[in-house]
Amino acid sequence: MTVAETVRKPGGSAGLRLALQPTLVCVFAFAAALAVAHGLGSSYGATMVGRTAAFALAAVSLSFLIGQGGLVSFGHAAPLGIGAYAVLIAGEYDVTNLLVVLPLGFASAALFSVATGAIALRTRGVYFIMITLAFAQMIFYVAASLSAFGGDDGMAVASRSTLFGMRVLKSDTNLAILAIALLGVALLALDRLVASRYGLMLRAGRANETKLQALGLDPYRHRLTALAIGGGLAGLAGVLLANQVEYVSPATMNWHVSGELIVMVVLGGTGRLAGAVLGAVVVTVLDETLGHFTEHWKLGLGLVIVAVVLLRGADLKALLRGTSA
Amino acid sequence: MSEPVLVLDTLDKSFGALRVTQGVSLDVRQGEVHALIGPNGAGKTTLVAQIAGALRPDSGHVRFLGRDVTNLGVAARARLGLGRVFQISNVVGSFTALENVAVAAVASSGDTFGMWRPALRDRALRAKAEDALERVGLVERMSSLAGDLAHGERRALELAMSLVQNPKLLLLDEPMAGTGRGEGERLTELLLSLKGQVAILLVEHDMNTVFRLADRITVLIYGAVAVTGAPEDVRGDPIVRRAYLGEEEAV
Amino acid sequence: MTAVLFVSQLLNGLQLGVILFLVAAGLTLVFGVMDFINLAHGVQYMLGAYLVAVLVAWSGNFAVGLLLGLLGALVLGFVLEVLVFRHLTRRDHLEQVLGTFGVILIVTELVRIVFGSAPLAFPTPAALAGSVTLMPGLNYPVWRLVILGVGVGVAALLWYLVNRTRLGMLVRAGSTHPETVSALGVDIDRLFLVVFAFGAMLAGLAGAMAGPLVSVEPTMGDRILIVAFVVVVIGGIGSIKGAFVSALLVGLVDTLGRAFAADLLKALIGKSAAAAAGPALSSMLVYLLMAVVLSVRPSGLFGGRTA
Repeated sequence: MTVAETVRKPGGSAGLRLALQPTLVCVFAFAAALAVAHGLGSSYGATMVGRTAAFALAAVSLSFLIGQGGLVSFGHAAPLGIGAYAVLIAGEYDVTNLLVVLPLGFASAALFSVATGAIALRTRGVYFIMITLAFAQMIFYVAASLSAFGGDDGMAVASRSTLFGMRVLKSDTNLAILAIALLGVALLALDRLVASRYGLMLRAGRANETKLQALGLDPYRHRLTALAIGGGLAGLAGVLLANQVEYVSPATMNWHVSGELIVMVVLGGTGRLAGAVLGAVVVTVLDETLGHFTEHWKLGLGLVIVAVVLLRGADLKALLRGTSA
Repeated sequence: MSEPVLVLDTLDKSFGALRVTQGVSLDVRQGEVHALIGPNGAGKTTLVAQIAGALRPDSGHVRFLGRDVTNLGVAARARLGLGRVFQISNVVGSFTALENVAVAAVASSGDTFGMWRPALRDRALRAKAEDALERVGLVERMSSLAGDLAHGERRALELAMSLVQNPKLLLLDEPMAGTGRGEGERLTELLLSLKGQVAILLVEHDMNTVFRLADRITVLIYGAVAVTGAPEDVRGDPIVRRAYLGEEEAV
Repeated sequence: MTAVLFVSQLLNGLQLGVILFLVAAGLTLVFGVMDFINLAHGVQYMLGAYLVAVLVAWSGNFAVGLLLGLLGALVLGFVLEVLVFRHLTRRDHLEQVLGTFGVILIVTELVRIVFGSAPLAFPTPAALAGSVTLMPGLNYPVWRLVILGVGVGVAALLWYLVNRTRLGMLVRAGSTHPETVSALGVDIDRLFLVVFAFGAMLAGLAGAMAGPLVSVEPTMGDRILIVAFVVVVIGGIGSIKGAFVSALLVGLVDTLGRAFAADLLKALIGKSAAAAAGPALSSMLVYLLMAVVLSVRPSGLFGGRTA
């Protein structure tokens, strides 16, 4: 199911409302969870909600690339980490205003995605996967070599972002509200984008590039634009994460993070953007719960992933086929 | 008489030692249905690929609307007005019929980067797409997924996707292949209705269709043009009879 | 003095190159034959190092430990192929990425449970632990020379297998024209099993060779895997020759870059700027090399198939 399929129904406005529903459900669910955490006075709860929403934003941006654009990037941790470093580096220069830091995080992550994407998009299939992974690893090592910004170990950010000097993100609840708001706006904007002329071309290019070429359109620029948008949104997620942990290190860009983002996208289903939110919730909750019981929780995650791929393989395949036949 | 829509000028193409296209020259005039026939292995598919821009000839030129397009790729030729219907139906199975035609309409519209307005709520675009579906008789099926359409319907859909782009030339690669008798008949009627409105290069096995539709026929044998002429001349040509029509059920 | 440094760095680069080749050879064939992306190949490298380290300690004899270890790596390759990978070969690339990523998490964590996160001792075999004088002022470790020898030997063996045997012919054909091979009535799944397990063993050999030089720990495969990807991409998928040339190239660029890029920069842009930019640049060199190659040849140096 794609958003456009709901839009197509006669009387488009009712269809569009349907398309908005998953987005609203996501936002309300996060808001409700945050309200409960706030009501209980649990700062841990607020932190968790904010963190999950930030990862959900990153996963949604990747889902846009994979599910709508057919661009299986295995380097999505890179724009995420670049967004985080934007907070750290800007902070070192005493720039903490959100209205600067957020656009900065978006723009620098988008720039990286475009620069590397211009080369990666010359290729297809496994080449694309490996090249995105390799470029992400490159930026990982670059970050690790920035001795002025903590090198391998990373360093603490000067302070959480502000709004014209006001320390609006001091409370974890406010930070979570910002994360949920950004997630909601991103989902709405991407829904719109997917149904637009541009989105139609992007999706057609994913499903049947030969035909699109025969119809006179080479989707290269559309894909590059998609990488910029997806990368930029991941950068925003990075800004949120850096604010939350108040610490930035190359570990944010570890390629395992890219892998986990893909896990979130596929667990939630690649057909719908909101599915990635569900995937992000599942993985983050698994991390938190299993992680408390055992330091070896990754074993559990690995088993879940392999089981899902092998057992639900047929379903997944049908699902992927459904949008790629 | 104005210039032909498509001119092939002594095209040559080899794969290793195998010469699959040998000095092929032909033209398609405005409004004409020009059929390209030939036994299996005559090199029709390779020739179609060279016309569409998927393959470059080793030598020779392809002229389209008076312009040398030999070095242009598939997408660039399509933008000039070369519509193509594939041998194996090539539509987006997970899109509805309407969405498929909308893809074609948007691709040739010059506005492929609109990011805010939902494409299918654009009245003009929708009307254009529905009109194309109407022309091929698929308007009742516009909300069905293309993957769920019958074989012949998918062919018609592909045709609608071409028509919505107002092509100057339709390159039809075996449109009858795999269609049932009834479907084939409807498709032939459809093509007959297009006759005169747009130039068509028809690559086809089905002799019934070819002789009903074609104004001229070119016969390709071993990668070279054996004969080009009006249907009755081709039918009577001894070389053709021996090499080709003899093998199949002649009309 | 600089000549000595240069020669030793040159040898180090070649030695990294052959290690990369051992890892990339299996990867590129598996990509080529089955269009299968295996992220878990780095895990095979890590397992090879662990197996050999443990078995050498157990048997007290390096040769015996190495042989048993390689056999073990081969068997593990078979087992993983049968349990997981063969079910993924006809799937979407996205699912292959996901499934093999899952395998990495599982195997890495299992190794961590059994051996802990701390590096495992992997001493250089006593007989090969010394160094030889290659030129005045250059004492070079014997073990590194052994690695070079083994790498070149395996490359020659692979060249023979791929170019001179029926199996190799099938693998070569399969990596460029898979449809043709299955049309010839060859069981491509069996072919894949053999290629896969053999590739796993080569990766294991690489791990065992590198063992005494690096720290043997559960995540040791991660770093090498991604550089091996770069090697495969530069060399062209499915090409053994490409993997060899590009592995040496990458090994040299990386090693020489780390050794000399900072000095070069110092001459070009001054000391303080070089101190800041040097490390970043030298860690980027390999990836920049990949970017340059891809800009010129999107399917790699020796890639026949268009990407």
